[in-house]
Amino acid sequence: MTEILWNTNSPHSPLRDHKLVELRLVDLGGKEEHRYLLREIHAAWSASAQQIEWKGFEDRMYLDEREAEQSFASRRAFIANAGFPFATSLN
Amino acid sequence: MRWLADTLTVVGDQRSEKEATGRLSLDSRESQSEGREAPPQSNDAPMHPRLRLHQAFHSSYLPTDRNVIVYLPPGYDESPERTYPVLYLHDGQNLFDGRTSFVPGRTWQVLDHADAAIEAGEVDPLVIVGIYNTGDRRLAEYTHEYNWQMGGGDADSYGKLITQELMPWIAGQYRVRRDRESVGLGGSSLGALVSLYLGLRYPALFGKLALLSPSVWWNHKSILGYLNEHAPQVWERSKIWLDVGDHEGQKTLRDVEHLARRLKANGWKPGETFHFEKVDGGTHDEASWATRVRPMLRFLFPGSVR
Repeated sequence: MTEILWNTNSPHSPLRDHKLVELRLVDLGGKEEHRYLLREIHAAWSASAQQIEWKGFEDRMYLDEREAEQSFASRRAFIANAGFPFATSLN
Repeated sequence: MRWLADTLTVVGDQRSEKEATGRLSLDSRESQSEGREAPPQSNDAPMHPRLRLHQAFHSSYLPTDRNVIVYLPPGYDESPERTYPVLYLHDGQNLFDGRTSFVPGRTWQVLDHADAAIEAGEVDPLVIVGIYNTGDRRLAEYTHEYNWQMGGGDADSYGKLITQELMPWIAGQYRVRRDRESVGLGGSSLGALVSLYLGLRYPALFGKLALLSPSVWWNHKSILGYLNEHAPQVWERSKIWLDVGDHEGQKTLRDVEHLARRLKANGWKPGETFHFEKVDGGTHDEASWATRVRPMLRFLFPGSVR
């Protein structure tokens, strides 16, 4: 499950000044304990590169699927309310 | 294609190219990816001089025109007698330019990695052809069988576009070799799936396959059966690069490991005709695929200096 959230309602407008946040939930499996990865990556327009540049990422690991999904939904809602109203699903 | 034409260097004159080939349409169109329009660009940065964009390549087999972007290796213009191996890659808009990619700013960085590998002598200088996907029709063109829930199944037509239309056209425009040892086909995700399918379908044309994070899952993993059925009929094994990231999800990981076992069982030899890489921390996106470009090229198109 991967979603990219944009700080705009019109993603087809020029990318200048756009910011994006990607949220990704991955079922990593595991032999001893099942793990779920929630990764959050931020991107912003770079004037020098004249394009969107992606920065580092932040990971949270969960052992419970339901907890991981709730965390994804909670984080997604927080980011959307923080000014990222448009979402693109990559699935 | 307004924003792209405004920003990037477009090779040649569209009218003369149409007259020369009969395939390039004068009507360009907006690029789309997975149903979403490709992002608009700024008007500031020109395209790299060794990237050539050909707009609206027309096919008689598929309804939607598509752009084709061509990477030329360092020294191409200075060596007019030299011919080059060629690698065809799907999802061309995601390979070179973060302004055209599906996820803005995220590409395979093919130019940087290919240049570095060639200049280090690790990789034979080669031409790389990026075939843009057509947005809403991507899934159909990159899948070999119809799925009752998701549709698809136009890979045979897409294969005809590549083998009967694009490859001859590229050979007429650029100094590429056409023997199977010099021709590769590759992609990621569904692009890797269709590469394997077409590689098995046209073993006499493609001697090298780059399969990054293949979507083995398509239609109940039917590609595995197709592999078992067709591999015995293939006289000579194509050289295959296969990889998957361990952060792509356990199902994807298992599926690709399954494919790796099937390839070995069908005669592909690790280290010779086959390389399987499980990428530590690798994810299912262009940023991760970018890290695999150089080792993939090194395996498939090794240079004389190692």
